[in-house]
Amino acid sequence: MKQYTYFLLLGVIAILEVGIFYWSVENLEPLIMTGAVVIGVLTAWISRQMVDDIVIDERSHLITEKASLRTLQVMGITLFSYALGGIVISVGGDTFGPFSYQIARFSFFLMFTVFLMIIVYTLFFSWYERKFGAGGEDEE
Amino acid sequence: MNENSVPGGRMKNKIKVFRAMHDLTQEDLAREVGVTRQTVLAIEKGKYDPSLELAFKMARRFQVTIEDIFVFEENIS
Repeated sequence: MKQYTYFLLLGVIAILEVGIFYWSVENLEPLIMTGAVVIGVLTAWISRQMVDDIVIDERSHLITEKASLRTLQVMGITLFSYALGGIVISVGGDTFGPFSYQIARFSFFLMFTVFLMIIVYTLFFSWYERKFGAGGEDEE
Repeated sequence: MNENSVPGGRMKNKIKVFRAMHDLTQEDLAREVGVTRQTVLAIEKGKYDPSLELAFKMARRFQVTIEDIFVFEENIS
């Protein structure tokens, strides 16, 4: 498959996703929308494997790695600080207005998400550390 | 320090020279060693150091050793 065809296919998938989203909202079908996103991403991924031209190489991998790490750091810190602020608001009760309870619930959920992110990161980290040779027996 | 530079020195390369000697475009070389043209450009400009595997592929393509193409210049201070 040519790179151009792949981009064309991506466009078609995006249009289909928008259509399915509209249909899901109209008919109140959240599961259809969730499934459509998963199928769409899988289709895009499989199509990318079929592209003959070289689109991904070691340099693009490095760029993706660095961008992902920076995103994780920036978003982790942002969400964590926001969640902490929200929890402080929740401790104050009604001092910060009538929505304190909702803010508290959202902040705890956010905090849980951040910790989940850290756990997933740690798991991947140990997986790759083992994959790339750390933790083996030393010869000496 | 440049993010791509190694502490105590810097990698330089002669890919452009070897390309000219073999009458190859960046696109040709990229296709033959299995990377994108942007990667060849980035290596030539010294913005990206290739992996050992890619360095070997390039050296084999030009039928020279890695040291003929890539030079490590130490900082003398």
